[in-house]
Amino acid sequence: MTADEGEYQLLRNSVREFVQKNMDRVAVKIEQEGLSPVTAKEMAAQGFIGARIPAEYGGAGLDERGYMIVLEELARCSPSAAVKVLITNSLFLPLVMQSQGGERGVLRDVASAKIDVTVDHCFLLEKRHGGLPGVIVDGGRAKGKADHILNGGADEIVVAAKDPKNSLLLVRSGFKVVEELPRLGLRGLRFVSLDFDSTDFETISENGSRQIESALEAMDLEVASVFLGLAAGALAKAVEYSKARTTFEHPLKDYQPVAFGLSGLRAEEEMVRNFVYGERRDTAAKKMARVRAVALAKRATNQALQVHGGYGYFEDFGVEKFYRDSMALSILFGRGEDDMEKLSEQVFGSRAGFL
Amino acid sequence: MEFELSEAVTEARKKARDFALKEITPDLARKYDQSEEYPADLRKKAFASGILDYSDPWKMLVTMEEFCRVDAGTGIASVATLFGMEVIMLFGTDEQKQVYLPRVNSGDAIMGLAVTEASAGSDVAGIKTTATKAADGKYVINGSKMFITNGQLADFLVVLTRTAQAGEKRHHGLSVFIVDMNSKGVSRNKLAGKLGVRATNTAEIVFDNVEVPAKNLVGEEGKGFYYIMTFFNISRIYVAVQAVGIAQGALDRTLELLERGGAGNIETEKEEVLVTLGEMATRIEASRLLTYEAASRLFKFNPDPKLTSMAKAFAAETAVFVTEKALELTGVEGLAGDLERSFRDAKIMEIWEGTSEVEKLIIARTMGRDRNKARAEKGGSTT
Repeated sequence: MTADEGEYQLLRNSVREFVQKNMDRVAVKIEQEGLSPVTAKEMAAQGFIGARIPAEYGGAGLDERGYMIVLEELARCSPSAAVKVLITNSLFLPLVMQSQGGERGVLRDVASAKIDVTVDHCFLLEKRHGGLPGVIVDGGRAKGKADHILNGGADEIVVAAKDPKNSLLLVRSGFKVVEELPRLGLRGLRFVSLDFDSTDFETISENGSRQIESALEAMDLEVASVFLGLAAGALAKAVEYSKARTTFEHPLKDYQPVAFGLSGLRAEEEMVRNFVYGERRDTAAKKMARVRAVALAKRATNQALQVHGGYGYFEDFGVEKFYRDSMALSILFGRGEDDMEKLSEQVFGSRAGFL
Repeated sequence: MEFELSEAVTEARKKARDFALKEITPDLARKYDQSEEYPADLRKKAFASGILDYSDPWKMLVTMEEFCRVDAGTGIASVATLFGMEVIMLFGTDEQKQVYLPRVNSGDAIMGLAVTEASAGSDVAGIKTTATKAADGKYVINGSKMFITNGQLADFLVVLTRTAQAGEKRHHGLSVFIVDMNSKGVSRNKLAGKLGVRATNTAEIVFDNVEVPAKNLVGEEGKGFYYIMTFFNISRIYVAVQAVGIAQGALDRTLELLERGGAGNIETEKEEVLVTLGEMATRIEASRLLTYEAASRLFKFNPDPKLTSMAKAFAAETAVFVTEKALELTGVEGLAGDLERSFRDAKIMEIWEGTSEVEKLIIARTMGRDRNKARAEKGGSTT
């Protein structure tokens, strides 16, 4: 183990210890009532909320690998908590850092969880409906509706506007929740439609839609880390359960379909982890990591629930949330067709798979 | 072989579909899903409309399919108030049939089946609830049952108990009783927080010295395991058709959402979308045919447990596959609409009434047994 690897292992251990002490006990509550400000503050105090925010703005200033470890370890317990960190550091942060004005000042309050932030990115996933933002800027007012906002209870939000410059805005107030949407997963975060009528906003840059899309494209490894944590959390629960649960006078683990199924998935988990944290950092490798992590998470969470039988179907056992979350996350951050088109382009060396 | 339903069953299907589309609105389905409450009014309406005809199993089958096609939670909750009825029909006394079945058939009573326990799910013979014969001839039941559908609402339950110590064969010594849920010593706790089918009622039932008259023993003492296994070979067909309904409903919604966005024409979708839609539709049709074939044999009193298990396992896995693909194809719109509920509802199909793994073991072991039997009949070795 190199000195660097030792430091990363220490970081992993400390995040895991935090999660065991502070989050495991409230994991079901997070699903039922949402991620509380208290838990968010505890996460902020550890430097997780502002994991990638530079130290000069009050963040932890972690490097990419350290940040991915935080995401993975949080997702093992609460994918919602991991996604809150992901939105803050992989979407909000790079967008606000482009600002030449005073918008970066908000980062200090974000890192300390004094204010909560989000980004309207789902409109880009709705290409069938034009993939257009819903907020219009006219006469100094930002007005309109944003339909699908994850972490929609946030205090401030970055949106792309439907104006000639397609401005990227940081809206500080003047928006409200008009509809709570069904939440398949990530129930620790609100999923809502927002109505805007605001004069309290600042323009960060132009080409807002493209800026948000670029941020989404740049987060392959981070997203892969969350999926990896989610798969690992579900499999760990299934392995423990299959040791403890007895049927036909034997522990579940003694039966081949259970043992072989879980062992095979654990092997895949290790392979994906090695790849996600591996040496390759080119575009194709990042895309591969994301695509395989998504596929693994879906199968692992399904199998983990299945091993739990009837108990797995109830929230108390904390395994059904992984099944819901992997599906929800794959839609909100998985970008299935886009990912595969981009991966195909890398594999074939030219545009492929578009018919 | 041509496979067509009778005019009467086709008409029943149409009525069930019309009723479900009219009464189980997306708002209503969402309301019961969120609140995890039982849709008592919907059930009453369904009975009042005359579409719940428990006397014809084919009509029941297509009604279940059409209700689940619109919404599985409220659909199953409305239709499955007779859960366990076949145990009484097949093995009960004339008196038991007269006392209990008309009330269920008319919608005046709700019943359920209590087999699963905290430590015995797939392993039915592992149950620990006991029924002990007292000096006055009554039986006294002690123990608890888990994950009981209709448990909190049922007027009576068909309960599997152990009446004799397990000998060499663990499935011996089990007996079935009809237990009035108003009996002294019965308590029930609603189990909340389910992933899906949240409008169905699920409870834990505790029996604390519950006295049951001897006349409530169903069939012969010690034969309970066989009765319950026979019942599962019936109920699995209804689970299979629930799964077919869920999958078909998810495909319906997927096509609607795809048509609403983009070019508005399925034919011009990209090939990956078309191939996926083709696979979804094929698996659904294959599930439906398997289910109807298994049902056809059962309803002619010639059940084929292997085929039943095939139908149940395949249809359940199809429901999970199709609802997942439906969300993948419809993206954020599906996620924020009714498809997310279908995805959550589908998973239980792979678990209740026998997990997919158990079904596959039944299929393979039945094949083995059939081959051994055939070999023995020819005078060959069975090893």
